[in-house]
Order: sequence, then structure tokens, then C-alpha cells
Amino acid sequence: MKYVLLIMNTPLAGTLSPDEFSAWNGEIFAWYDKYTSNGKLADSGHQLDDVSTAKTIRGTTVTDGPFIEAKEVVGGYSVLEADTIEEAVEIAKTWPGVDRGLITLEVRPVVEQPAM
Amino acid sequence: MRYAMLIIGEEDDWSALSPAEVDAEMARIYAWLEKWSAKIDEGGAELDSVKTAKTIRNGIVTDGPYIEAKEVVGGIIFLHTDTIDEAAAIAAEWPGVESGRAMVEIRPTILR
Repeated sequence: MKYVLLIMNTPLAGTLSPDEFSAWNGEIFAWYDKYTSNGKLADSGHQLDDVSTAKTIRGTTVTDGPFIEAKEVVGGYSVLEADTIEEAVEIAKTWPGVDRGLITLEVRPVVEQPAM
Repeated sequence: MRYAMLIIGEEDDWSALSPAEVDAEMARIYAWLEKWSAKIDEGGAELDSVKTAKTIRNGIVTDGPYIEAKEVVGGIIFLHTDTIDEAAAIAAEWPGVESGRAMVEIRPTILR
């Protein structure tokens, strides 16, 4: 089964010093290396640019900014391969900084559609 | 440039549709995917209901999505276009956007 990890930046991440931030980035790269090599990462996904760069299309209107104003915003997306959502959650708990509140993660099953 | 297209809507809207209406909507979605296949990058996914989500915050796991909202992310598609405006024009054709049933957020992705 595939599970999406929605990776939310929290306000706390913005309080890190440049040194703390680059150390944290190092942990994140190591995490992606580890889970890519052990086959648990189906797709490392993408980091999204800042919400200030977003455009939202509602009806026929395009507006600048995200669809929702929130403290925690989606900053990235990855896909895990796991047997159960519990296994996906266990992996997600090891995402660097989630224990320290730098990041909030949402884990959600992927819906597999029949081939087009 | 690569852009993420977050597809957002109310889940209840889907459950209110009849099976025939769901089929018709899916046919429109498949037609959109086919029309824009040259602009779509790998890595997109349709997400299951937010009711199935688990959220991990400060190391604590809770049931449900990270934010309670009427409109929720239901899928992600990656587009490859020259500009964000081109991506926005393609996204505006996503079935249901014009009628207001769905909306789309477009965001540039960061290449590592």
C-alpha cells in the first residue's frame, strides 16, 4: 500500500538559527537517503515553494496566495510504501523534527484507480 | 518549471453524488488527464478520505487530518510548464473548478 506524507512546516521551524537550520537539513537528507535505500520510500516527492508563491483557482477567479490561511502549511509531499497505516505512521515518526514540533505530518492512504 | 497542483474540495460533495454522476465526473477527470498528459509529471496521487488520516505532531499520533477544514486536499498532480500562469490556466480546466465544486492551489516545487 502507498501512503502519502503531507509535510507541514510549523512556525517553530522559522525560529531556528542558520546553523540549527542547516544541521536539521542534514538530518532530513540523511532520512531520505535511508528510506530510499531500504525501499520504504515509493517516491521522495517534492518540496513546495513558500505559500506566498501560491495561486488559487476558485470558480473562474485566480487569486494570489494559498487556499487556506493556516499556521501550519503544506511544505512538501512524499509517498511511503508500507503494509499498514500503522507502519507508515511508525516511519513518519522518525521524520527529523516531528518529535520537536518543527514539522507536522499527515499520513493518508493513496487511492489506486484502475489503469486509464 | 515544475508546479504542484493541490486539488481541494468538500468530501461531502462527492458522497452526495449518485453512482452515475460519479462515473460522469470520473470520465471528465480522465479526459482532463488525457488532454494534459504531456504536461503532467510523475508522482501525483489521489488521497483517501481525511477520515482515514493520521497526524503526527510533537511526536504524538492522532486520528484525522492536520487541520479541520470544510475544504480539504484530495489529490496532488505535478505539472511541467514554463510559467505559473500556464499551470494556472491548465488547472482552471480541472473538472468542477469552474462550477466551484473544486478548487486548485498551484505552487512551484523546489528542485534539490
